[in-house]
This record gives sequence, structure tokens and C-alpha cells, in this order.
Amino acid sequence: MKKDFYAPQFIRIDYKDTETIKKFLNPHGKIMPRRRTNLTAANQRALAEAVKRARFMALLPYIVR
Amino acid sequence: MSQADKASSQATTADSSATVKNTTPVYEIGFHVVPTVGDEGVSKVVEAVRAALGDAEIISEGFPQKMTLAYQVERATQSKREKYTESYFGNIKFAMQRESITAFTEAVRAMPSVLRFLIIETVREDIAAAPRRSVFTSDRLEGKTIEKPIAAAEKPVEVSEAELDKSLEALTG
Repeated sequence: MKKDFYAPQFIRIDYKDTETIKKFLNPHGKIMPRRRTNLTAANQRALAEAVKRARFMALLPYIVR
Repeated sequence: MSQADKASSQATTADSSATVKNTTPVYEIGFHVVPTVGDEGVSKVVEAVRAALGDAEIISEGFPQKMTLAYQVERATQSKREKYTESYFGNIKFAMQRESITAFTEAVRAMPSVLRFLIIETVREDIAAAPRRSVFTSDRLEGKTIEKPIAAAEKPVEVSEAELDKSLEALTG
């Protein structure tokens, strides 16, 4: 059974932790859907927010060609 | 005022300060410093950011480290557009009253050495230190180490010279 990566804690996704965030992005830099990430709805929203913050701060690219 | 009254009032003050400390919102600023300032100039920029914080409580700090940006960041100054592909990225976590954040944001925005910054509301605990699990794993073997199967030891068998020669001849033809 697949488990939520952040399940033991309540939403702890840091936008500076790009190595972890990259695991939830596809090769184009897009956020994977919930059916692929297996995150809870709340954690998926927290992930999306962290990705957008990291993109704004140029820690992650908006798009990978 | 009696000593007991003094002690109780001091305890009340301590309690209220602890409550204020717990209820004060915690923020984190992440900022990029332009690479043109050099290694020495970064310290001055950090000092300026800390000075802008005023009497806010600094919880933790990550000194700016040079990094390559994920994309080219452009900034318009008075007469030209500046383009940067690398910067010094640092962060400071602090507790500050909600009313003071706007003034702090404006102070950082006015700093020419700060290329880009982001202020977020966060929690006092260090979220990066949270224990991690592997991502797409099965929990079937969780906590177990996969061991190599133990092979049964071969027993030595005595073979006579004649039998050995015979089997060799059969092999070689």
C-alpha cells in the first residue's frame, strides 16, 4: 500500500527543500496529480503552494523544455 | 506592596510575556542578494535586513549561500535592465507583530542589493528537520532488512584416484 509522504506530520513542506519537492514534479517541471503523488488533499495543496513559492524564488524552473 | 504581591505580579508579567511570545506570528523571509556585492558585501546586506527587523525576535537564520538560479531573473533599474543567473540566497525566521510587517516589507523592497524576496507566515518549529519517509515504497517490508538466503554447506566427499580418472576420461572423450 502506498502512503502519504507527509502523513505523520501535519503539512510540513518547505519551499526551500527543492530536492524533496522535485520528487513530486514530472520531467517538464509540472506538479504531479494526486493519483501519482499519493498525498492527502491538504498536503497536495501545501505542495502546490511550496512549488509556486520555489518557482517565484527561482529555486525551481517554471517550465523545463 | 508585600513580597508575596511582588512575586505574584512578577509571575503574572512572566506569564503574559510568555503568552505574547507564543501568540506573536512567526514569519520567514527568503531573499536573493545580487552577486555583484561579493562575499564581503553579503554580510552588510544581511546586517541591513536584520536592522530592518528592529526589535523582532530572530528565531533562526540561514546565511546567504551562492547558488545558480533556476531561470534568469531580470530587474529594471533607472535606465537599464539587469539580468542575473546567480545570487546569494539566505533566509531569516523571526517573530514580529502583524502590524510591523508592512513597514518591514517596504524597507526590504527599498534595498537595491536585494534582488528578490519572499515573506511567508510559518511556524516556530524547524519544518525542514521533520523525519522523512521514502516516497513510493511498500510497507510490506518496512523495518526489515532483506537478508541473503543461507545456502546449505556442501559436505566433502572422498573420491578415489581411479574414479576421478574415469570421470575425466568420460568428459574429455
